[in-house]
Amino acid sequence: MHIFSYLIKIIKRQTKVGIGFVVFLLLYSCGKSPIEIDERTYEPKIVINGFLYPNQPVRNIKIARNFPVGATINLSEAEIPDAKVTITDVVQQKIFKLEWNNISKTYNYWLNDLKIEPGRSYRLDVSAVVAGKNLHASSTTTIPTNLGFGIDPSQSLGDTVLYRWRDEWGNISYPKIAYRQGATDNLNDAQFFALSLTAQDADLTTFIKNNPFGFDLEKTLKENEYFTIEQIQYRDQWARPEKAAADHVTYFELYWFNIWFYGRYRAIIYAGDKNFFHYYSTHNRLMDMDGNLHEPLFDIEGDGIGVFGSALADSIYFYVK
Amino acid sequence: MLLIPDRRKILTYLLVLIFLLTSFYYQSFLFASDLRRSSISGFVFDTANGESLIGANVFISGMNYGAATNTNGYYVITDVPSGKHVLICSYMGFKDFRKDIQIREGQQLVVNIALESQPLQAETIEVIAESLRTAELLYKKPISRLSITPMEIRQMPAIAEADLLRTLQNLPGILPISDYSSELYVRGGRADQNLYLMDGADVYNPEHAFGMFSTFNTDAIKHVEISKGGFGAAYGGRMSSILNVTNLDGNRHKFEGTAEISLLSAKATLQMPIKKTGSISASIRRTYFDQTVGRFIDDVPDYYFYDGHLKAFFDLNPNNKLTISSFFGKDILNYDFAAQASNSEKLHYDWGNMTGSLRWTHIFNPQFFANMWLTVSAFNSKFELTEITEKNELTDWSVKGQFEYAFSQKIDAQFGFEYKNLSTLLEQDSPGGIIDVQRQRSHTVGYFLVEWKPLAGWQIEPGVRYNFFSSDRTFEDWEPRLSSKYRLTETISLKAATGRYYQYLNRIPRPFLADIWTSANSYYGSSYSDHYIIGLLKEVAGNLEFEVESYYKTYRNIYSLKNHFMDLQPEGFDARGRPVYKGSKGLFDVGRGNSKGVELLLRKKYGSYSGWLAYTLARTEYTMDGVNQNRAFVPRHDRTSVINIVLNTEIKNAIRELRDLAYKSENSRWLFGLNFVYSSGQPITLTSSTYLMSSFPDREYDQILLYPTKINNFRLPPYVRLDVSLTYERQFKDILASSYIQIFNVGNRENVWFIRYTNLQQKDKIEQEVTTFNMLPILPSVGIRIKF
Repeated sequence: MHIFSYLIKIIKRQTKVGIGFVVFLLLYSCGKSPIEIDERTYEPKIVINGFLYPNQPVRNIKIARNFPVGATINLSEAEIPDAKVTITDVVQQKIFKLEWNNISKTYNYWLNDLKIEPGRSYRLDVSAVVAGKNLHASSTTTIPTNLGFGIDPSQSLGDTVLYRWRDEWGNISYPKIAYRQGATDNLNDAQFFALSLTAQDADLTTFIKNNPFGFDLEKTLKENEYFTIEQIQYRDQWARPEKAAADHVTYFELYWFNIWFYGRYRAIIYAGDKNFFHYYSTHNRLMDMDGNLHEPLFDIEGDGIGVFGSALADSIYFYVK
Repeated sequence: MLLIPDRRKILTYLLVLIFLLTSFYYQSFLFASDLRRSSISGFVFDTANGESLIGANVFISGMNYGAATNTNGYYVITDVPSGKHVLICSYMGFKDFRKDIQIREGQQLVVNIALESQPLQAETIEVIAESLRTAELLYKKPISRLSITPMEIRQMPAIAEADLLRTLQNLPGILPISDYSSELYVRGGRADQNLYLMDGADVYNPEHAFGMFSTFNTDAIKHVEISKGGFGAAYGGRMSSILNVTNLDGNRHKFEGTAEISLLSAKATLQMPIKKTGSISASIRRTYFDQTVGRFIDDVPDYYFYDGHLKAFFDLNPNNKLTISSFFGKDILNYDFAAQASNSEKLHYDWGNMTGSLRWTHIFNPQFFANMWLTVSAFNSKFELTEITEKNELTDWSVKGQFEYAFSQKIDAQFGFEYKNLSTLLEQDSPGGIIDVQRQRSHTVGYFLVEWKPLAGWQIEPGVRYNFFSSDRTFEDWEPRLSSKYRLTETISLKAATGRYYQYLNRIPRPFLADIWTSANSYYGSSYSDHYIIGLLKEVAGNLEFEVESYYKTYRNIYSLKNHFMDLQPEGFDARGRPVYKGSKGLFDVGRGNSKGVELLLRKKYGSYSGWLAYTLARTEYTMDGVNQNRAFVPRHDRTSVINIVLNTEIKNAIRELRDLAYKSENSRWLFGLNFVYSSGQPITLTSSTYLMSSFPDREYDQILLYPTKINNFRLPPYVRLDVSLTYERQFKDILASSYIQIFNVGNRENVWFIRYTNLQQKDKIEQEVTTFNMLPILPSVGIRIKF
């Protein structure tokens, strides 16, 4: 332990050493350390965004690539037009090759021999070259059955809804969209129900300025270059299967904080499969409370990210004034 | 089958009852035999205010007979040989007490010791005597236990004002998660693995201002001890650490008070005697931001917090003492989103703690000492935002007893019990669903430990702790504990400890909202950790303490809140079709882990300059089922290397001390404080890439999404921070006035908390920018403190 005695002797003899040490600490604690994130973190992936609907043709399967962090993303380079994309009917083991459409920038199947039927499973296989690397990804979806699923317009909100209208007791009322989940006791039935709400007339003129949250869209768009109108134009809610009788009517109560514009609205209710549920629940909720990120849950094997899911869908339109 | 838990419960109660009755039966037997044994016992207290002193050393000069005062300031030295002796008592910051005593065979001598305080900077004890005492102090303190004085807490440069938990974050092995949090991460454990005790009562969620500050008012604190692991059987309930805070009993001789105003709050502490039998102390603190800045700036939310403490001590007779202690604290936030609008949405959120404890201290005979508590601890929060309401409550009623018996100079025993009744309530009503959870839990504990000194310089402490936890199922767990000390040389001690530590409570952390506590149940079993610790302690150069400790900890059944609620199943649906949740199934990921590390601490506790230099080398790994593809990962609070330098000086006398000149007492003085932290980079999950996708098939609008890499596989740059404080103190007759300036992060270092990714979308391309969200910048603050 001579080192301690030695150090103490130095300090005792040299008061200046102590002062110098404090100055050193001060200088060392100034400034910042740069973060260097190099491209080694980049892992090329095939981005899949496709859904199947029962009794409908296979359309609009998007196959794209991912980009390194911090890179400029050239939108015309996002889609992959030369990928090999197939759908396999898992039961019949029949393979159907999808074709690239240069207008919609999506993959589609145009013949009539591929039937998408409730309760059946279909596998999507994609092979493509991303950033010079040969990649392959596959995902299987099972089409929900949910016999009896659909919106019940007669029990839903009317054609027109008054913004934050109050009932006869002065309480704020919530517009409801009534729907039947249909049979939900089969393993292949929908894992969740999602409401996708679109303000179709969204712009600065239709924005509800007298909103109770004091949110000023015009000011925000001016001051925050990263904010876009779409962030409040598209809203969503979700519900779980109730395991009730097929004809049981249930409701989506629209939250008023999802309504930011006057005008026309489109509401689509999806009865989604497991893949859709996992994607919906995790794809953009990645940030923990401490700012850290966690992984999303994607049902894609191999080098793919995104979703290949299936759903039943029904829609309703209304007007907010 | 349903009867089995009840039978077990009854059996447990019976065991506890038999244990107690046996204890009392044997105490009468022991009492009879004790009458034949000679002993010296009594309390050690501060002459100035009558406060009992915890951890004071009392010993007989020239002999290997001695004891340290317990948490009540009580000591007993047994089997003292008859004859004339010199009794010595020493305690940091006080003049030595020496008294010639004469004891006959079988005599039970009571010597209450009053120590006279002296400024810490004025210690002028001979180096040789001091050297022995430092080594003795190091030997006596349990492994991994550190104490910190109120003065050290006050002198540490801080954000706005002194904060207990933020001070502790500068000790080796204890870390914050960020500048924005006062939570403690002890030796790789998570924040909910620490037990906070205030005058014997558990404190849940001890946080103000969304975690920025802790609820402990430093002016009310008398003594603080933190045990970072390897603690004996007397403590349990948490896997990582025990923080034991004892508040001031109150001045037993005269009226005394302090008042302080800082940029954060105004506070006052008053103490006074209650006739000749006791004392009372009270403190109150309130932030005043809402009454000052808030009145001039519209956008500032109406937010404030207050807390208070009241404690009364009654010296009923030489063998019975009673202490009543209470603490309360509240945070209140009101915010009007659009004050001008008639239909404005309003947010109301309040949360707070309340604790109360009644402690009866009884001396059956000089060798047999007991403390019994009745405590209550309650936490509640209420959240209201038009469409969302939430009520979150926790109440803990406990009865506990702690008995100490000194068999001989070689054997001391401690045993005790605890019965805890916990009730929790969580009611949440929102458009997305209903949460309605009400739980009733009980936790019964019995423990026994022996301090055995088989040979001179050896001490072995075996112990065992029994838990019976009852929720929707029951848990019975035994916790073996073992620690030992060996005096290698006059100045070097070796220590080791091991044990198993069970925990039945888990916390659900939430951003900006008070955490929710859940308990072990049918779905989530009890968590436990095994500790293995070895240490070397050496007194260096007379009055420096040097400690090296190495530890290895394992964790089993640790729980982490899932990143999504897909697996949480509702019990049913209400009339509006909203899901109603009543259980916790599907809420947590389950995992395991381990921590290992080495801590070095060089500390000087008194003199004109004091402080510590600490280095920690550590590594923690968790493996959670379903996370990171079931592979091990380092958690966010892992740091490989941490250096802490804390220095408090009384400038003029420090220079004198360094030049070996005598201490000089003056009416005024300048104090300088410094706190330096270096820690190697915090792990973080990086984004491996970005991609474009819409959330729904019907949307034309593609979001820019991030795809993370492996969890926490990247280290942020090292964290470096220097805080300084300068205090000017002046004595005006009976008033000591001090004014201070503190600068947190004086170098304005831009330490990174996390990485932000922002996207600027243009017509045909997207520019992505990677920026950082930083820790706190430079924060100067001033304050005035008056002691009268």
